[in-house]
Amino acid sequence: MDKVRGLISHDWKDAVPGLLLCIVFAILVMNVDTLLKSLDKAGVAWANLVYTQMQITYVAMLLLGGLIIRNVFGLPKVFLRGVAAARPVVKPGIVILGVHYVWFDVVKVGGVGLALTTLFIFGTALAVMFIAKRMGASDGLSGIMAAGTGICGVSAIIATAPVVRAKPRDMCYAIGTILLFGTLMLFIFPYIGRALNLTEPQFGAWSAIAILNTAQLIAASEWYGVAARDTAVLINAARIMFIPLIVLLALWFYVIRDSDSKVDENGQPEAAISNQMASVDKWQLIKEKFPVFILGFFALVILNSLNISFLGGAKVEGSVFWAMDHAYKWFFAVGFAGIGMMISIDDMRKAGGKAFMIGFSAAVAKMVIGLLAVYLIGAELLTVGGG
Amino acid sequence: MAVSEQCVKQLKERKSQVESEVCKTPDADEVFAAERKEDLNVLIIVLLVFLLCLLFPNQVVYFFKEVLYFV
Repeated sequence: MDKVRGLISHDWKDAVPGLLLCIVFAILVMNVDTLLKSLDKAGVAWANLVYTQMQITYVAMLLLGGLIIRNVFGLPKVFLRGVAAARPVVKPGIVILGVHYVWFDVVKVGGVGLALTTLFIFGTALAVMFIAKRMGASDGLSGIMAAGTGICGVSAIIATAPVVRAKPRDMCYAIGTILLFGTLMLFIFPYIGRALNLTEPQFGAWSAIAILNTAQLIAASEWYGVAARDTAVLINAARIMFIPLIVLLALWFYVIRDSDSKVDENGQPEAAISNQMASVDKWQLIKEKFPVFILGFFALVILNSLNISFLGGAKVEGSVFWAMDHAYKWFFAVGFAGIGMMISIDDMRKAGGKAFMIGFSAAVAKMVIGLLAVYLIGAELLTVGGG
Repeated sequence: MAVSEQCVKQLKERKSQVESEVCKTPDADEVFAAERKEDLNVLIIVLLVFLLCLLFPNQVVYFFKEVLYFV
């Protein structure tokens, strides 16, 4: 019973107002989206300009609307806890999307995605470690920036910080930088993709390589199109499973690898501290940092692949998976409202120092090389067939 | 010389104190305990959605497709 009680945050009541605000905002925007879509279909010129040409769909309305509410009108303190709680509401949507895939997709797109993400995650992490060393950044800053730019942004920074003993100021700069680039990419990527005529699967793969935060990635790819989102979700599922491995890489690179030669700033031999770190239970570390929710996604992929008749499929009317398929968009909508209202321009102003330069170099390199990679791979290998 | 070294040490301590006050960062264990809790809650929510869809598929679709849209 205590374990069940432990799953509920002690301050859950504080989250209710903000969560309700996001739900109401999501319902309003989804209705405006439907209205715009029907006007666009009816041939109304301004609706066509807004909906089709400017791509102001429900995703953009929720993100931009949330950003404006937070930064222009200001969000009363009573809503902040709930708005933060709304952001992870995207996750049940991601898990439910498992009903869109079969194992063939996981092997085909996931396989290409796995190769791409492995290359980009470890390539970026190692390149950032190298660049940071050349720039004279501390091991702490280099370690968290390598994890932050290589993988899942803020989560990876927080996971790696104690391992590489990053200073609070470095963490502050690193988180600010990751938030700044994440937000910029979220808003500009769909427009760059359209300007470059990227197909939806290519865009999904490109954004999965370059956009670090899961929720921001899902928002950008959903904004671009359904096929883009399907590819991005699958590649992201492969990517986030790497968080524990990146933490282990940072542990090895900064602590275990050259533990005998260093002396810390207080003159204490680092070997002693490093031996302690080296004795960390690696398996325990992997278990702790593993994003367990993604197991739900793969469980649904397996069930969908098994063709169990009473579960049906996303397109089989009256079936379980068909009903589930109607729910995910609402989880996304509430989550996107949370993302929009969580974008604080003040927080992003904290980006600075060497973290900014390292983050900027990594972001630009990833964008350009990622784009070349998806052009070379082509759309076919990145397209999700579905169940 | 000793005085200036002491001064530098004090200033360094003050600097790191100010830094930690200005840039309050989350504790990794707390954040990951919260993330694990969040992930388990996600799985519970999906399980509930699954059960609802198993028992009342048409009603679930009606709710998400009709009830929530008033335009």
